[in-house]
Amino acid sequence: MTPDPDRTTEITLNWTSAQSSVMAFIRSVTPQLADAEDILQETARQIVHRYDDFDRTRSFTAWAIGIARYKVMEWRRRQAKQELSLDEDAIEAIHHAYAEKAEDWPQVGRAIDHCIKKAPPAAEKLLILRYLENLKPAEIAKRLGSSSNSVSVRLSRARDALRECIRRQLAQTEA
Amino acid sequence: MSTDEDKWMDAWLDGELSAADTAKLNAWIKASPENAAAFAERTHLHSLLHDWAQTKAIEPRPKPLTRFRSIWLPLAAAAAVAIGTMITFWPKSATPTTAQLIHNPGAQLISTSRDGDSLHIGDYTLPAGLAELLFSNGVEVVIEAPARFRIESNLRLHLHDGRIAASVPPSGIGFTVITPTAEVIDFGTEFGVEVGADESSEVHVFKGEVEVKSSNESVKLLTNDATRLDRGSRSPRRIDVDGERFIRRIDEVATRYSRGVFALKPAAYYRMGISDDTVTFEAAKTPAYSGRLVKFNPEIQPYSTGKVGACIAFTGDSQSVHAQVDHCPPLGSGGFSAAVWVHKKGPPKNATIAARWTTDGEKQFLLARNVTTNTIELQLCQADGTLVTIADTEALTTDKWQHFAFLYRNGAEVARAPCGPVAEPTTLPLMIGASDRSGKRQHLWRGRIDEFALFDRALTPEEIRITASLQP
Repeated sequence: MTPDPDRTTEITLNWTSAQSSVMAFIRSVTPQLADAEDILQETARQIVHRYDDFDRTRSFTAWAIGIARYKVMEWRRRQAKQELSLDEDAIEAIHHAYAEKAEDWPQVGRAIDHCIKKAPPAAEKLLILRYLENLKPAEIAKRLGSSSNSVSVRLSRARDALRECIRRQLAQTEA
Repeated sequence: MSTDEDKWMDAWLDGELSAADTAKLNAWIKASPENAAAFAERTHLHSLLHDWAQTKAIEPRPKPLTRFRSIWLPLAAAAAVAIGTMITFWPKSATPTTAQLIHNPGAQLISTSRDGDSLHIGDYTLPAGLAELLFSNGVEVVIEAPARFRIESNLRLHLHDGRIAASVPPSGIGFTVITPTAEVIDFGTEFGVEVGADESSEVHVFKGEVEVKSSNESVKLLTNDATRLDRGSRSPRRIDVDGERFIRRIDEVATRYSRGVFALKPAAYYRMGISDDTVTFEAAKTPAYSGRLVKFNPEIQPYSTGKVGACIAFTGDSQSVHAQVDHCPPLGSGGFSAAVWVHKKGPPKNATIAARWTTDGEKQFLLARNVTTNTIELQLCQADGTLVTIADTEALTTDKWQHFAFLYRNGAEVARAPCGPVAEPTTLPLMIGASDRSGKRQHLWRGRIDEFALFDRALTPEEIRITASLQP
């Protein structure tokens, strides 16, 4: 097989733009980050192998999420404790929800950036502890000398506020 | 107000949802497309927050990768590539740069496409030293001299000759290294590529997966696989992976081992990492106790892969480097300890790990391999001038990392002797990799030494045992 630079470049550019949404989908059904990263890697590999099947009139991101779904299913079948994972019909439904919005996710990405800047410092600190240091609410509570329940509530509020802001932001863009 | 479903979704994402509630969440998602859409929206936010948080990491270097991912300007980037330039989106300003030069010990990267630390598309030559590049998509590459390469984009690098190690995060999947005989496509990994003067190529995969394409064949390499392609041969040939040939990081990152050593409050801790000028022998956190590497041939690149990060490789011959610390930390408490990782090569020879003499011409301490017994031996001079010698009971294992502390091998005590307070003061330098009695260096070490720590007190057996057990 002769390496074809144009094809490789096209794949990698498409992949660069789709990767964040594909990862969000994989993470949503495989919460362990290490598993999600493995699945993402397998998905990328499969995309390179099957790129000739990609219909260029369709959304690349939606196609990539579809491939990620198969990789998630494969991964799921290898898991011992299936009662702790979502079943295939649920994964299928989530996949549809993600694929349907494939071209909208980038706008959400831009909106969140704007909304986070407006979040109060205390909320931002909480989000950093949660998402950068990957601490569970109980561990955050220990650090802040607060209760686990109160941290959960405040985290939910911070996320609700962000969701609300994103919705307003998107409505404005569309208007 | 959060509903039950919201709570389940958050607990699910935290990996904390019980089997019973997982079943409920599962049923709820399937109940309607609206529910699945709500799940997608919530989990997507979670993923974006995760990406956003990475941009808040307090790191000494720029971290554009998550920015690049989460800010979503890839289409603009794609357009930029199509017209032959690559744009990196930095938080504040937009600098058209393909990669940043984040380390260049020896400062020797030559190119007309270089603008300070910003690297653009073009040809590069590295005649000596090392260079670490951070591409705008998060790919990190360490290049060892002598090397010639061309940056084509943040996804394609042509290696004409030299040795590189690449670390590719998910945002850089698809990163490709092109050699004279192969094309190496990455799927999110750590791997090394070496192009020899004869245009042969070797690919070593340390973690993950890469695809190697030659003119008529494509092979998949997984963790710990390696392959070689000779010039003119059409097919890759499987070889043993060499995890130690490639320097994979230039800065010494904090590891469990280094944190464990710092917790014991060392008087000086030489991490044996790669310094900016490749001459300074840095004492971590106590720069006043830094020394220098004595090199007889400035062209020689004395670094290698260490037990923890990089280390110094000693060749043991007349060209060998050694480290010298003229301003050594005071060891005045009467007791002291050292801890070190060594990787010895070659047949038995008197060889010094570390030594320091007193002004009376006696050893304050000497940690060395003794040719007669072929063991590691420690000699200490007590305050009254008498010398105490203790030796390991077993011959030194070569070609393998071993941890030594006074005098424990790999955390287990091997010898002890009663010893009074050690002699002090001394004004003579601390030497590592050689000893120097009267201005002439002798007993050169052959092999690698890493993470040399000196303590102004006797470590307890428990402290030594725990330290030696800390995995890098």
